[in-house]
Amino acid sequence: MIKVKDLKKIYGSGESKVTALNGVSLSIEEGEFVAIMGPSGCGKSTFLHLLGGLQKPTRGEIGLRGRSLSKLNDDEITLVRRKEIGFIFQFFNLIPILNAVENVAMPLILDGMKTKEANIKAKEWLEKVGLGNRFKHLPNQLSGGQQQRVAIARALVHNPAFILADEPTGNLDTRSAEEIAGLLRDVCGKWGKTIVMVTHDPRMSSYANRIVHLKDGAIISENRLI
Amino acid sequence: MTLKLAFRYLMGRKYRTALTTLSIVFGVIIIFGMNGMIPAIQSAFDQSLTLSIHGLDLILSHELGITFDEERAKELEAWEGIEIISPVLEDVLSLGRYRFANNDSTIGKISINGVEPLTSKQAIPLSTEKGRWIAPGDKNVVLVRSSFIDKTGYQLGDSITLPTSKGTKKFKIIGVLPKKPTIGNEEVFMTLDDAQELFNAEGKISAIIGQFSDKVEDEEVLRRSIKDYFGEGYAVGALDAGGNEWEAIVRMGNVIFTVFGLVALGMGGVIMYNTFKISVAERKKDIGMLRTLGAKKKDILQIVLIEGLIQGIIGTLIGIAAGFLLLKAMIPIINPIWKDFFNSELGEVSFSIWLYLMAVIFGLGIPIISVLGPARKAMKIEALEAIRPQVGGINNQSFRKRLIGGLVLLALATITLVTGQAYLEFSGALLAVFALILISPSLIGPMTKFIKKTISLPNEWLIALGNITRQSKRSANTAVTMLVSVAIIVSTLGMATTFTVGLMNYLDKSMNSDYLILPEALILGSEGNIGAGDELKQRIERVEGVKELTAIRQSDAKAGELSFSMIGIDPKSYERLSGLTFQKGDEKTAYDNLMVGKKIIINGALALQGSYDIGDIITLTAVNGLVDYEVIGIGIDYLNSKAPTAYISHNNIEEDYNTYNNVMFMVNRQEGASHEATEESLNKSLEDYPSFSLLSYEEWRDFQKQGNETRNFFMYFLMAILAIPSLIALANNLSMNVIERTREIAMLRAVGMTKKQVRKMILSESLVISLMGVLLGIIGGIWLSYSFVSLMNVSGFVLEFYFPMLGLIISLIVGVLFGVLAAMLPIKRATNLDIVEAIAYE
Repeated sequence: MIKVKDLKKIYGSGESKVTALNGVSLSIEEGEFVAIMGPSGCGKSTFLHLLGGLQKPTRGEIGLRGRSLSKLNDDEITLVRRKEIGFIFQFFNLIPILNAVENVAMPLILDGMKTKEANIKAKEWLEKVGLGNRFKHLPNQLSGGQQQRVAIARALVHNPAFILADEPTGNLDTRSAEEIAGLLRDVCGKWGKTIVMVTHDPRMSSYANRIVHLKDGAIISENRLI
Repeated sequence: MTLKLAFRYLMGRKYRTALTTLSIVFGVIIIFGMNGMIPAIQSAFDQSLTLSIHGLDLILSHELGITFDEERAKELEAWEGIEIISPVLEDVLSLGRYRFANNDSTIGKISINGVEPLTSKQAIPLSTEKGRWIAPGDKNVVLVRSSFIDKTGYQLGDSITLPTSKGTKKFKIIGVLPKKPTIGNEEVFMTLDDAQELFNAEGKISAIIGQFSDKVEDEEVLRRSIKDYFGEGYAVGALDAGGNEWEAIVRMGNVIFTVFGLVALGMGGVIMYNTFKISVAERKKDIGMLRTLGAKKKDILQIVLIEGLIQGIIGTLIGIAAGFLLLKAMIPIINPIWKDFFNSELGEVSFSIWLYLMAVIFGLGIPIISVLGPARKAMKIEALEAIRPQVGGINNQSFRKRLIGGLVLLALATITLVTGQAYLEFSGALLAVFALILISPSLIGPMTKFIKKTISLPNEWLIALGNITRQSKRSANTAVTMLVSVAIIVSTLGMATTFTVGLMNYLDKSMNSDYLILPEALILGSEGNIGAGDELKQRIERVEGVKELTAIRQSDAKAGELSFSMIGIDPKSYERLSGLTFQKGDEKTAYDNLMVGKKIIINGALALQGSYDIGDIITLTAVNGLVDYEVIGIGIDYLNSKAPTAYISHNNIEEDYNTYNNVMFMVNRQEGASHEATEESLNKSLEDYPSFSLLSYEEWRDFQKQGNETRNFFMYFLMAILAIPSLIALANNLSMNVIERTREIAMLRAVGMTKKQVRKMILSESLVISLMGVLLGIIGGIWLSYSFVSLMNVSGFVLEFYFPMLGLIISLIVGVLFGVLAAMLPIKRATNLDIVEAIAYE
């Protein structure tokens, strides 16, 4: 379970001070698919980065399965990311010089798993996301949608409880975007992962169970879809 | 605009700019700073010129620096155009234990000027400040410079003790001359008779000095006619025996510093080439955008070239300033050591206009040449690149051509090893190093695979090995700078080891005596070696416990234009107590034949330089003209192993070189005689000969070993200087790897790579690349030193190659150390990067 309390994030200081998040509180149950929506600059990406421990909040608490992220040091947060969180980015962020299997296996290798074993698992996940015939392909040999599938497999390979997705369809054509959104719904529905997805696309948010609207760094509304 | 852009781009990557500029700074420091030292050394040499009397119209001397009959001065007395002629015996005297010392300064050597009382006053334009000039009938008197008085505290009327070839003697100071204009040796003037006695050179002089009358229209014509009259072997001008060697050393120093500087700058060039190549690739989009906005190809070329030029200018300026300051700071530190060895102070450092020009030409030229390639590549980038999506930096280049070329060269180099031709072998070694450079990218893949298979490594290492393989060209380029440095380190140490071990072997083989009695000057290898007549020899022979001895004499010699050292030996005793290692000729008959007529044994170096062989006749410039000697053997001894040298009998060295003094004795103890008692008695017999020291064979051996190590130290220093650019290159390339992979590393951090893992990954990359360079460098270095030793053997200095184990160990340590050092800044950068910022934008 994710429990966020009075989260505040300020960038800069003095006249250049920007308040990205201003007292956000939110609870996300395990197995939920939550879409965070809002206009550009409303703080939705910042919210996601704070949840993933990529940035530290200026104020407030983030509880992840009962543990407060703000009390952890950099190495401990890194381990939380490695074990419990999977990331999906808008620009895929695959390592260009690694093929699909190697990209997906990376979190497992970082966790100390033998390469051979990690590659087997990576292949399993690539099969699951529909890329069983693209193991040896390098990122530049894959389409945008396929690259994002690799990224999703990478996010899932180490069996994390939470998937944080930052505009996962923002860089895709409509058809690919629909496919990825469907895949994410499967990730939540079939494989029981908790997903927090940032998007500005209403069609994508329709795949979520709950939509949280942000504006000027604060939650302005919440809708449960099912 | 282009200037502004170039400047902004450089400022945009300060760290990389600083590192590449540093490599230029380094090369310029070596070229500019080290060469700036040459005038200081030259000045030290000028100071040690033996006769520094100015204002003389004529100084006639033998070009070997040897003495000749004083009667010959009379032949010039009636010469038309000559007003006054005066004979002089001038030489440097090493004071040994009798050195003048007080709190502030030490005088270990003095220049003795033995002058003829009547004519010298008129010939030498010097006036006394106190006291008087030498007068007829004077004996055991001296004139000194006021600087001598200042340094020693002696006063007019005091007596000073000087060593002579017949024991010590007291001389009264009767006059004080003005301070010496240059620093060098202190000058002491005495009567010609006293000087002849002091140097054991009865009736001999080393120069004829004089003044011309005012009527002489062309002084040069007169000097030339006098020289022609005196014939072969005589020179008109300043006395500068040994000057040629000094000049050669200075020239050699100049070449060495310039070559070292160029190698350092060359490495800097490689670093810049790499940096700019990557920088251009990184800026493809920017450059494309500039082209979209209307920038011409020429503008793009200019921007990149200006960047290189700015770095060249800054690097050269800092290099010149740092070289200047470094040298200024170094001179006071080096001077005491230098003075100890050469008895003259290093002069002021000076930087000629040529040196500035050289620094500027190379400091600016090499960066511009290095960035030319990347600049041309940048120029070809099309505007379309700005809108085309970025393709990841996959490096799947093929190195097939390089590999084939490298293997062919390597095969050729290997073939040269079986030819037995040293010159071919040496060229082969250079080819081999080049071949290793060519094949290095192709070795990356197999090498990393081999490591992965043979060693069970942590995952961070495996990731690092993957990174190295994927960037094989850059990894290889980085390894190549290590390769060059290590090849230099290993080959230098290989040569140093071979020299040290080889020389010690020669020493053990060619010196079979229990004791050596030799002047300090010989130990230090410098001038002022007064020697001693046969009185000392007889005195030593009478010492209780002494079984036998051999005496050695020395003179400079010349055959045509070829200068070398002439050693006078007593063949019978020399064979037993010392002995040559013969390369050609029969040892027994050679020694016997040396006693009969004009026979000569030469060493390998002389044989090579003069293309002499057994049975050849060598025409030598002797004191009385040209003399023919027959070569009866080619052999080598420890003391003279490196320089061209010849050996003749005592009789012949007396007859042809006026050399009556023994400069060294080798002594054997009687069986059963006490070492301590014999040593004590020998020391007692040397009491009146302060310039001589007694050393046991073991002490002498240790001393020689120490000397060798001191000489090697200079080589190590230069080696260290050359190793630094490879550290810069390693750090530079690693940081570029990190910069280029910022997004990738951020991604790894996002998916769970800890800072510790990032550190491990970069460190292992650095270590693997560095050690790969070290391994290739060791191969190249051993090859180079082996072939260099073969080359030395051809030159007549026969040495057995010794494997440079020390070089290997040092190289491995350097490899690991550099690997760690070079990784430090990139690690800092990688661990401190802002993950969100790095992954947020395309």
